[in-house]
Amino acid sequence: MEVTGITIGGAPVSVGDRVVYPNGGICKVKGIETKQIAGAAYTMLMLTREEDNATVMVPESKVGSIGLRKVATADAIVVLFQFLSHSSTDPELDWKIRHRENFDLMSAGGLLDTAQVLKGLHALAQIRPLPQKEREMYDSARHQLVGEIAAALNLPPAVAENNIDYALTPPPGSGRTAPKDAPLDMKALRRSAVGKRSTTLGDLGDVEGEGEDIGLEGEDEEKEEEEKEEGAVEGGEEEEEGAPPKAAAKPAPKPKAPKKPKAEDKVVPAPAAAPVKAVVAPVASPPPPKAEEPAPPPKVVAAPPPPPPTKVVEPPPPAKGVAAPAPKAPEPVKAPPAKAAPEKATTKAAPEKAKPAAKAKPAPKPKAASKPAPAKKIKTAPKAKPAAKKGGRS
Amino acid sequence: VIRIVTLAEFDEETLALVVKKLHNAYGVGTEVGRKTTMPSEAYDPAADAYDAQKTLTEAEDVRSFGDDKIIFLTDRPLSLPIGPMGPGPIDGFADFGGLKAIATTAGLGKAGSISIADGLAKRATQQVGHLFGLHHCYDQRCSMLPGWADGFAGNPDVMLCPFCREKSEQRIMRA
Repeated sequence: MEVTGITIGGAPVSVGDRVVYPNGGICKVKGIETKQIAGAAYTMLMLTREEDNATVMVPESKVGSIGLRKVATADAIVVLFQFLSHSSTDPELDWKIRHRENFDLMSAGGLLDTAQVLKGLHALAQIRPLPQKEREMYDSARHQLVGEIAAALNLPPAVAENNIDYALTPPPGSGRTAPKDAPLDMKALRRSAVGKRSTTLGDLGDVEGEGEDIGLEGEDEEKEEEEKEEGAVEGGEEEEEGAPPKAAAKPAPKPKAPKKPKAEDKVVPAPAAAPVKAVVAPVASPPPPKAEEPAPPPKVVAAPPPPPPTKVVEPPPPAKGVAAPAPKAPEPVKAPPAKAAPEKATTKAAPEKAKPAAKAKPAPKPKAASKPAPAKKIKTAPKAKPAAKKGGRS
Repeated sequence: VIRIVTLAEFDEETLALVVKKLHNAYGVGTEVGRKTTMPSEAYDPAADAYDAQKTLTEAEDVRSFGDDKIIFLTDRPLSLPIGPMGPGPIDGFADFGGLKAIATTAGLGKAGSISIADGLAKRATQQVGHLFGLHHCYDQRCSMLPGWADGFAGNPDVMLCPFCREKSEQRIMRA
């Protein structure tokens, strides 16, 4: 029986189909029901989670947006293992970036997204133990993958998990213990995965997120740049030794020097390998413009001299009141710098704001701090008292 | 209760060690059930090994309670369906989140590696962990580490990492 009106990735959903609910696991389609909620009628896609027989109701309008998709095909699983068994993952060490990326990937719920989380955290775990939250995410990602691989290939979950670990932790005699493969082209992988499962998974590729592709590429680019920077630095040193005059001529532009050779280096390796590096090559081409771009940006940064306006606010000189007026100054400064251009025009306003400062001036004469901070400084006062007490004690 | 069923000859010391380690790992009553034989239907001549899945289904059910976790111990090599990564080492097999598992001593006892008794205890602990819903772990000291990883043979002690221990306790509490 075909479920009327609901499609996933362009393919109609039938009762009994197995679908993947992001972060939820494999579910079986039970049918459609209309539910009255808060007086409104909603058409719900009824699912049963295979793991625990929990019932999941998905509003028809949300089927596409939550990332619901059909179980991956066997071909997509092959691509998945190709990704998992590749040894080029460098874990993201910044926990904020890592957590955000992993969270987004898990929410998207794509097959390769989940695999990317698992692989990244597994690589990180080889360096240091994972924090509790990430350990849970690692386990969740592994659970999702095991379930989907088992469902896609009709294997027992234990066998699916063994295969994941054959890929992540190659057994001794497998011959796959190479220290580091060439960088992996995630975009090409995703394309092939999406293409191979397009017959059953439709627009899964859309669900997986183009933004993530971009992020991945960015990471790859960064890594490549870093690697090549290292190489370039070494090369630069050699150049310095070999050609001292150039080094003397460009002492400061050293960082620029390595960037230019990058483009050359990238062009050289590209022709070596056919498909993967060919895809890498276009990635390599953009950097040169980047190398040129960075030069102007500093000028731009210098151009919008918002900092000078902050100096204009130098009325902190009336800082005879010492520390108290100084901290106050930066706060009002932030607003004016945007309109900093009309400096003299704003000066009229400035004195208005400066007036309180002027009031502060007379204040310090009697006993500086008390006047500028009417109510707030009352709070600070008690802090001073304990300090005095401490001093007394000491 | 975790019930141990032997499908081969094991000395008392080895069984006692397995019982002790399983009890320490999961805090659940563990006892040796009885000895049976490998089901001949499960033998796969092509692989010269016993099909682990068939063994679980064909082996005699000796449970006393409906929720008993049964771990079969054998010394014969096992086979499993080949996945996308091709054939690999097989320590045992568990019906993930289910009631039956099997662990083998095949491949243990090599020079410079973990002893048979310790290896069997670790493998049994891992398979029972799968019955409780635990996945493989990356912690080198954890018993849920894949059996072919370096840390498995390098750490003969049977123990669970904090995460696996907590998760197993939750599952046991829920059960």
